[in-house]
Amino acid sequence: MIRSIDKKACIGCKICEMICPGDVIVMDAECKAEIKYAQDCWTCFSCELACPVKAVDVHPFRKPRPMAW
Amino acid sequence: MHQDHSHWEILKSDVLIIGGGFGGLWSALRAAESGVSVTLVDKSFAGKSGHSYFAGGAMMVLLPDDDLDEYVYDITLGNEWLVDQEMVAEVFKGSYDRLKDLESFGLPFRKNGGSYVWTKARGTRNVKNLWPEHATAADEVTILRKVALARDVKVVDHVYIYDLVKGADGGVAGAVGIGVKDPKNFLLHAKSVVIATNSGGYRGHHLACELQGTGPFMAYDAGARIKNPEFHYINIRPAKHEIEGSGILPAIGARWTNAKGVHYMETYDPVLKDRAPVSKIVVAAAKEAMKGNAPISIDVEGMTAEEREKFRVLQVSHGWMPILFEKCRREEGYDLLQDNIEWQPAYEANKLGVDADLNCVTALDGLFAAGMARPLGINPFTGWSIASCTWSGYRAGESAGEYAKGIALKAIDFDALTESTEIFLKPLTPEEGMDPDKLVHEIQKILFPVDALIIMSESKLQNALDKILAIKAENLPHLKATDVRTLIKVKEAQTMMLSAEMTLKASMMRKETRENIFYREDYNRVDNENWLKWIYAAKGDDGEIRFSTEDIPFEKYPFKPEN
Repeated sequence: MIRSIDKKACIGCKICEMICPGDVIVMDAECKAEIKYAQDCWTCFSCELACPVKAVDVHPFRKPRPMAW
Repeated sequence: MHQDHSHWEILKSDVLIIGGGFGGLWSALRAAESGVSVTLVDKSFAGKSGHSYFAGGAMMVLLPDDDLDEYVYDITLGNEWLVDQEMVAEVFKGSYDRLKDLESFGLPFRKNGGSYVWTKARGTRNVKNLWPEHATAADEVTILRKVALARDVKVVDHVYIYDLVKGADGGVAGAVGIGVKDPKNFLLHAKSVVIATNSGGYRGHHLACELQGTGPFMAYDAGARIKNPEFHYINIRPAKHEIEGSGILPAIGARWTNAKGVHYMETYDPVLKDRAPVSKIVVAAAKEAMKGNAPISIDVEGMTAEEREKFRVLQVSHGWMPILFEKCRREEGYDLLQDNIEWQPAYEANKLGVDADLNCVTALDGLFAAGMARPLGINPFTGWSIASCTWSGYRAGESAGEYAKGIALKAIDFDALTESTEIFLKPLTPEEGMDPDKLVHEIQKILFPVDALIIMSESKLQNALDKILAIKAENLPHLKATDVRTLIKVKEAQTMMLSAEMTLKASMMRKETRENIFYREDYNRVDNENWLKWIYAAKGDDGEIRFSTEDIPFEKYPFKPEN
């Protein structure tokens, strides 16, 4: 799941906001990327890979969901 | 979110395509090539959403010197006879041409000395998988989007489609949607529509968390038939983290082991052992757990240096996988190639789809189906998904384009449109109600445990169905939305409820076991006498699910089971 976005590093290019398949990220009033719906993150790493300034950190935490046993 | 249509964004085109993965993008390319105007709509960013973007990139291809019959036989056997053999042949007949198309778009495939490099598709004897050069499926769909734009396809991103729109004559005349980021109403008016939205699921494990089935089920609501409602794709995954692709470890030297340290796969498949198909590994792990032998883990200690290197090259060398593996090592303190971690079966997707013929034509006038939104067999072979989505996308685009050429835009039935919009928006009205995420969690609690859809029986399926029907009666009418985002989630939750009811009832109908695709402990043998059949579901006039079966037409096929 997405863990953090370094707002100081963010340059407001909106790439992560545009490509996130779960629409987890929004732009704040200062045009900095902000995690709004972390629980809907796919853990696909698209944002982390696409960020030109490496401001995004995704972690392979497992989402809380019922297991097989 | 106005219902007065004068405020709506209305887009007109000859062909509308819903979904921006392999199926949708190939449909768009092909339809545009035939000279018609095309709109492609995606709930996220077409070419970067859905499952296609995250696939490994392997594609089954029939090379010019290969034998088509051998390919059809292998895929038929892998589906334990329950696949349309004519459809399988069509997938492979066009595969080499599509490979050449991809190369002409600037995506070369791996070659060595002028010949394509291939690997044998797991679970087949003769089927070849080809691999893009220095690329994954992400690069493939990214290129397909660029080609679509170059062919003047109008791509509409971030619009969620919630219903098909009928024309005054009853045929499909478009779709209705809502902006995900900018909550505008959209009417996408078209002469023909291709549904390419993937199949469905219950927001399963990792990337499958997006699968919920709006696409096939809006076609069902409009009158199309669903095929294969009893089948699912259940995988096995690390218990603690969202990690893709490491399930091939046992295929290249690692071994499944239980809490007692026993390498148990020999008991379940004395021939293939740890190299058995995923479905068999899932059932074996489930049985071990039910015997009290959990946790299950992958024992990597016996792997050779060469096998470890092979895994690194195949799985940890490209895209997002290196980051994921590095974070597990650095922050969680384990290395998948050094440590034996716990694994569990994990529900991914259902295998149902909108019934469609070899031209991807559905029972609804003007509606075509492509990609996993139509039935493409049950066995999720590596390389089959991309090959079959590519074929069906191309074919559906061709059919939808031809259909659109002969006719004018159909007049919209605005009364029906207003009604479907009112139904969609209704969950915004009540003051209080249930959060759709909570309802989905309840569905998952019923369907994900091992004794629901993995080890099935009449009593277990009935037990799960009773719980689903109780939620349907008590909670489903009281879902509450607070904004567009939760409104979409309500629609998805409603879809998942219908899908759960359908799949449980259909699974009770199939009273047999096909060991690699369907496991019932109370009918644990193949029953070719009674079950060489497909199950279909359609919506009755009373709104209830009507099931039917059809014999598989072996008289038309090259291969038949011997008994």
